[in-house]
Parts: sequence; C-alpha cells; structure tokens
Amino acid sequence: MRSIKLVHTSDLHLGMTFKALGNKSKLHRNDCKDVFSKIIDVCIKEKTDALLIAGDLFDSYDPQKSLVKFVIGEFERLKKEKINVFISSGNHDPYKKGSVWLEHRFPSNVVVFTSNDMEAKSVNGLTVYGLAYTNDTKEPLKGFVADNTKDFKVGLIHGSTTNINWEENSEAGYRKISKTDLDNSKLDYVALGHFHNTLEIKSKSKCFYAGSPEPLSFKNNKVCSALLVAHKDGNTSVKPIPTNIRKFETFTLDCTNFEDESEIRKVLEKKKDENTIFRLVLMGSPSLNLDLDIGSLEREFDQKYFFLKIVDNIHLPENLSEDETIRGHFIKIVRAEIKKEKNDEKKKRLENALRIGVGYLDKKM
Amino acid sequence: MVQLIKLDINGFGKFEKETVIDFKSGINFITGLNEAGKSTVLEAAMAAIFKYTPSQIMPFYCWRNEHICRTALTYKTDGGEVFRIISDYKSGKRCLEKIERGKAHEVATADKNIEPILKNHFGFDDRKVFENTAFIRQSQMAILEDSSVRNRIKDMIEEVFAGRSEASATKALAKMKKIAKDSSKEIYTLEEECTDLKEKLESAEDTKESVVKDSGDYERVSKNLTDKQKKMEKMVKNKRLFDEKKALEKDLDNVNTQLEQVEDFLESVPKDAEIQSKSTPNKAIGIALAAVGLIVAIVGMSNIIGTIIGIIFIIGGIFKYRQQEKKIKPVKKVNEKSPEYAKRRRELINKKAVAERRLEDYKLVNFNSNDFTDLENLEQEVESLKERKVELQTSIKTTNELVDNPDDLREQLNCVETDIENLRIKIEEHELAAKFLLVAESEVHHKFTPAIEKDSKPILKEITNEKYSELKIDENTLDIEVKAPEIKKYVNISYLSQGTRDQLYFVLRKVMSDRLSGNVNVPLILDDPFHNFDEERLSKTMTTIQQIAKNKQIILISHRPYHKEFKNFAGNVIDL
Repeated sequence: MRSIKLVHTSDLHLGMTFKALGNKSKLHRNDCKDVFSKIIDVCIKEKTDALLIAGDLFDSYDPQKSLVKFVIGEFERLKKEKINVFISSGNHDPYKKGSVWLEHRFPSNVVVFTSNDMEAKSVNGLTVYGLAYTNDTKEPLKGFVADNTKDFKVGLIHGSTTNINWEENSEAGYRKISKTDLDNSKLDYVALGHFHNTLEIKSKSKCFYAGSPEPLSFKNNKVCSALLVAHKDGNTSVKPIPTNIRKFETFTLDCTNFEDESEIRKVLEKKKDENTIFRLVLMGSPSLNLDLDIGSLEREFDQKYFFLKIVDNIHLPENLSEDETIRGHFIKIVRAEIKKEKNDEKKKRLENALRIGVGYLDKKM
Repeated sequence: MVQLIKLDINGFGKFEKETVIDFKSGINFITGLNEAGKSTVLEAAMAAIFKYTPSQIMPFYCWRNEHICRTALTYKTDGGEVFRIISDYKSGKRCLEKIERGKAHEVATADKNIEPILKNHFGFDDRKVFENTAFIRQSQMAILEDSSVRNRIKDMIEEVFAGRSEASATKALAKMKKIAKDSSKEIYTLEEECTDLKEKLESAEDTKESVVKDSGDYERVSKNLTDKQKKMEKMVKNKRLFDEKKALEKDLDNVNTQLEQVEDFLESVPKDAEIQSKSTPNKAIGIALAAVGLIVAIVGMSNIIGTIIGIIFIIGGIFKYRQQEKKIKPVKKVNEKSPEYAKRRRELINKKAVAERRLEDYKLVNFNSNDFTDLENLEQEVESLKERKVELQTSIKTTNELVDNPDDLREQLNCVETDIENLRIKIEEHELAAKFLLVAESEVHHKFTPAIEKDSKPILKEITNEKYSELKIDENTLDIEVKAPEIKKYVNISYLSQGTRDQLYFVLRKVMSDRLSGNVNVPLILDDPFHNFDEERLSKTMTTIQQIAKNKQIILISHRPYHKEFKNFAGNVIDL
C-alpha cells in the first residue's frame, strides 16, 4: 500500500446564525469561513491526497449562493493542487431535491456521495466509502464490509456512534453506528461527523470524530481541530491540527456573601481575551447589598472579549431580615410570593423585584 | 427594657489592650477627646450583636496586637435575663452564654442558632435597620434645626419606617415608577426601530428576490449572448469564406477572359501575312478604280454623267486604297508585341492554375448569398444582449451595494427584539417591586401609626408639662398635627417652636424604636446629636432625654463635657 495523507473535518456549519452572539453573529459566521480556508491551506501545505468532509459542511441544505461560490472557489484551489475532496452530507445539509448538492456544480475534484447506501470511490490507492444523508434513521454501517483490496480504505459517515454519552443532545439518535458495525467494517480509517468535538472512538478500525474546526457553542472544547490522517508503512497516525479562531468558555462564579461586584470584576479582568466568547454564570446567594447591574458590567467589559454574556443565576440569601420596617415587610411579602410561585422564570422576576425594592430603599439605586 | 451591662474589648480598633466598659441603666455618657475610641465602643457593640463580615471587621484589627480581636458583650433582655455574646474575630468563633447566678451557660455557638436569639433580644437582625431606628446622629438633628424646610419630622418617620437612613418608601416608589416609565419610552423607540428594520427587511427580501430574478435573467442573457455570439462568429467566418470564394471565382473569370483574349490575339498573328498580301490587290483595286474613274471622267468630259461616274470611281478607288492602309497598321503592332503576349499568356496560365488550386480549398464552401441575410439581424441582437447584460450587471451590483443583506437585518432585528424583551422584564420587575412596596408601606403605616399616636401622647404630655397632650398622625401622608391649647385646634407641627419640635422628635423616636423593634425596649444611642445646639435648646433637650431615660437605656457620645455643664445629667460617665 502506498503512503496516503488525508485531512478529515466535519460540522463546519457554514452559514450558521449564532443567535446567542447578537451583533457578533456575522463576525463569527465569517470566522467559520476563514477556518475552512485554513483547512484548505493545510491540505495544500501537507500535500494531502484528499480532504474528507463528514457532513454538515453547510448549516442548511440551501445555503446562500455567495457562500456556495466561496466554497467552490476553495475547492478549485485544491483542484489546482490535484487534491480530491470527498463529501458525505449531514443532517443539516442533507442530500435532497433543491439542496446545494443538486443545485450547484462542484469542481471535478469534488466527490459528493449521492447514494443512500455505502458507495465506493477509488482514486490512486485510496478508496473512500461514503453515503448521502437522506434520512435520520438509516444505520450507515449496518452489515457493511469493505472490499478486500490493497487500497487504503476510508469510511466517511455522518452519524452517531452508540457507545458515547450524548448529553442533552436531541440529535443523539440520528444515524446510529454500533461498535460491532465499526469492528466488522474492515475499514482502515472511519472519518465521522455529527459530534462537534474531536473524539476517538475505540474500535478495530481507527475511528475519529473530527469535530467542528471552529467552535459553534459553549459545548465545544477550547481547542478545535481538523485531523491530519497519515498512512505510511502500514501505520495509520492521526494528528489534530488546531484550527479555531475563537473559543467558547463558561465560568461559574459562586457569589455567596458577595457585598459588591469586586470579585466579579476580578474574574472578568482575569479572563479577558478578545477571541473568547465568554459566559459568566453567577451562582449562589450574594448579600442584598450587592448591587448587581449585569447590563452595565457587560457593557464595561464588552471590548475585552469577542463576546461577553453574564448569566444571572443568583438566589436570595436565606437570612433576610423580615423586621417590622417597610423594608422588612416588603421582604416578607415578596418572599411569600416567591414561595407560592411555581414557575421558575416568574420566581426569578420576583427575586429581582425584591432586590430592586431593597436596592431603592437602601439607596443603592 | 434591654440594657447593655458590660462590654469587654480586646484588640479591637483603638483598644489594643483589654478594656472593660460598664453600662448602667439611664443615661450612659461616653466622653473623651477625638480619637479616644468613643465610636469604636459603639462599633464593638454592633459587631457583637450583628455579625460583621470579615471585610467589615478588617479595619478594626490592631496591627500591634495581631493575634487578638475579640469582644464580649453582657446585656440584660427585656425579660430581665442576662446574656453574654462572645465574638472572636480572628477565629470567627462566636458563643452566646446565659448568665444565671454569676455562672455562664453556653446557649449557642453556631451563627444560625445565635442569630434568631439575638434578633429576639434586640428586635432586629439587620444592623443598618437597627441603627436607623435606635441611633440618633448629629446630621439628623441638624436638619431639624433648619426651620425653612418643613416637616422634617415627617421625613424622620418615613426614614425610620423605611428601615434605612435617608430612605423613603414614597421616594423609592416614585423612582421605580420613573424607571418603568423611562423603560416604556425606550421600548417605544426600540419598537419604532423594529418597525423600520422590518420594513427594511421586507424590502431587502423583495430586492433579494429581484436580485435573484435579475441574476436568473443575467444568466439567461449571458448564455443567450454567448450562443448568439458563437453563431454570429461562425456566420461571419462563413461569409468571409463565401466572399473569398466569390472573389477567387471572379479573379479566375478575369484570368480566363484575359487568357482568351491573349490567345485570340496570338492566334490572329499568323494571319497578318495574308492581310498583307491582300493589301496589294486592295491598293491595286483602289488605284485601278481611281484610274478607271480618271479615264471615265476624262472620256466623259462632254457627258456630265460620265464625269460623275468617273469621279465616283476615283473616290471609290481612293477610299479602297486608304482602307487597305489602315488595316495594315495594327497588324504590324501585334507582330511587334507577339513575344510579350506569349509571356503574358504563360503568366495567365500560371495565375489560372493558382486560382484553381486555391478554389480547391473552398470546395466545401457551399453557400449562397441568401444564407447571410440574417447576419445583420444577428449583429443587432448581439449588441442589444450585450447592453442588457451590462444593465443587469449594474442593477445587481447597485442593489447588492445599496440594500442591506436580509440576514444582517434579521440579526439586527433580533438584537433589538432582545433589547425590548429585556426592557419588558425590567419594567415587569420594577412594577412588581413597586406593587409589593406599596403594600408593605400601607401595611406598616396602618399597623404602626395608630400605636405610635397612642404611645406618644402620655410621654409628650409629661415632657411638655401637659401643654401638648393630643396629636394625630395621618396614616397615608404621615402628616402630624398637635392640638394647640391656645386655640384648641390641631395645627401642623411646622407651626410649633423649635423646642417643641425637638421634644416631639425624641418622643417619636423613642416610641417608634420600641414599636419597630417588635416591642423590645432597645437602648437609644445618641451619637453627639446636640453638637450645634445653643445653651437653651441643649438644656431643654437634656431635660427631655432625662425624661425618656426613665424608661430606656440611653447611650450618649460626645467630646463635649455635658456631665460638667449639667448637674446630675448622666448616671454613668465613661471617660475614655
């Protein structure tokens, strides 16, 4: 078998709208494009045989024309270097009527899998088995065995391996791939997509989720990569190449007994990074003296982050004085309301109302 | 009556070494120079009753006694029991003891157990609320002195009711309502922005559609143009070939004609001799005719007809002679050019061969002129398609440049909508706060104003030597009226003298602190409030304080030696 070099990526979700990022959504959408170009650069620099895209290259099946034009332009760059591109569609950019895959002509070096079943495409010692994403229920590797050839055999699949723990993911059950299926596939490398973080799946075949090369949410790891897969002298190595421009980070701060914002400011100062999408979750029960103005804190530190979101999850302290003053009566009345209220959101409204009322009485507002 | 009995301070603020301060019932006067630690005594008592946070206690650490920071406060409750609260601020440990027959028993050590007991004993668990109720400070009395501002007592009542210094439920409510109103205005502006954005978005989407349509047209036009251009190019090429072929054919015809002529001439050259030989008879005929004519003319001299015939013969002879002469001349020239013509013939033959060979190349060019009648139309069509293409290109470019991208607009809209939603939440929270604060305010007013009214009357009567015994507090406005004995009518207290207002102030403060502490008779703490009083006002106030002290422990702090100025003023003088 000759030596083979591949770059494996997936889940770029080009064209995605980042609703949570507000006015930075567009910028981050462009980051994703930049990272895609970066991956093309890696392919060219490493002189790879092919680029493997394991689904969800686009965030929707009918992305904007300008975006498709950009992607095609990038593929043309690979064409000049005689690098092939293999694409399996994903649940976000499924292969169907009216989809980007049918509406646009891709350069001749791009292979888009169109069959609902595993299909082989061979070039120069490399065979890529892939399939189109046409429904959520198909089990891609069920009963599949790769042909017995001397080629380096790669599977390119968008789906969910059943042996990993998909926390809070509604798409966890899409296109199940069992460990047995992987073990029986006789593939030399399985390039997976769907999961957004880089992850190795232990099986008889070498098997990896590449993960999104640019983070898309707070669930992403701090470092996102494309995978450089090299096969040489019978050995297959997988090396992550960090690609991300931004990083998502969540920090939880227990504010119990905080009298002022100084500790919160300290954290915001310490964590500042203009490429970080930072979410500061405030927990615990700070003193009523804490005059928390999340809006102004966000505005103050906005320039020091790519995007800053402060989440107010603080609770009222237990030992509030319900004395005979108006302040005490007010606290007593609102707390009784809070206790009665079942809806968490309304509870939070009432807690904030209590902080506001006490704030005005205490002359902090 | 709650009474502080003893405060043991060690390593706290000014008190680096252990200091014990004993309190008694009645008036306790803490005096001393500035920086002697008068206020520290109060802080130490407050820190003992209301647990201070580490950041609150930090300023009281002594750098010369860094291992110890400790207080122990012994007090008697309203019920007459004696307790001691011991606080070690370095270790954070606290201990509440009950003292019976000179022996201390541990009651509680955990904050969560100590705090409710202390609240029970002192009526409050919030230091600021306690201070707001039980402390009278100089600044508050200074305001009282300012007679230009009316109803300062009312402010005091509001403040004590509210629970925080300078606070007022009424003012807080007004502020909350203002915030809610301002936010509503802000929402209104944002909603306008929203509408704008939605309109923009709609038009952007329309434009996008028109761009899509234009793009479609553009592609169609481009394709059509390319096709037509190709067709035209082909036709032009064909026409060129056709024209070339035609030209060649014409050339060939010319050559053929010339060749024919040349060959004709060349063929005519050998006949020259014949013409030459024939010329002589012509001449001879001419001469003969002329001679005959001459003879006939001479012979027929007598006869006119003979003469005429003779002349005709002569003329005919001459003509015949002349005719022959003409014919001979060109033939002579041909004869001279004959070799040149032969050469020309060879050339023409060559030329013909070349032309024929070239025509051979055009063997497949089989058009007729009808085939090219469309060319002009086609050219026109291509021109107009070119124009349309440029037009569409410009239209797409300008719309793309001028009109925002719908996705961007949608995101902007999303941001504004989030802002509106946040403002709505802000309004909701402020309105909730206002709603409940209003309830709390009316509850407190309703609960306490009649009681305060009732409690104040006998003390006021006693203090004013029965001059004023009736007063009314409006439950809603907190306006206070006192019955003026002279006119037997209620008058607003702003019409009363400064002295009477001071008396009323202390009476109300005592009554309110008793009531708001949940009927616990807590000590009244006077933090040098009489500092600016003149002798007369001070003297009157001292009398009032002494009256109040009959049924309340008073702790007065001042660097001014009241105990020397007023006889029997204080039962207990603590000189630091």
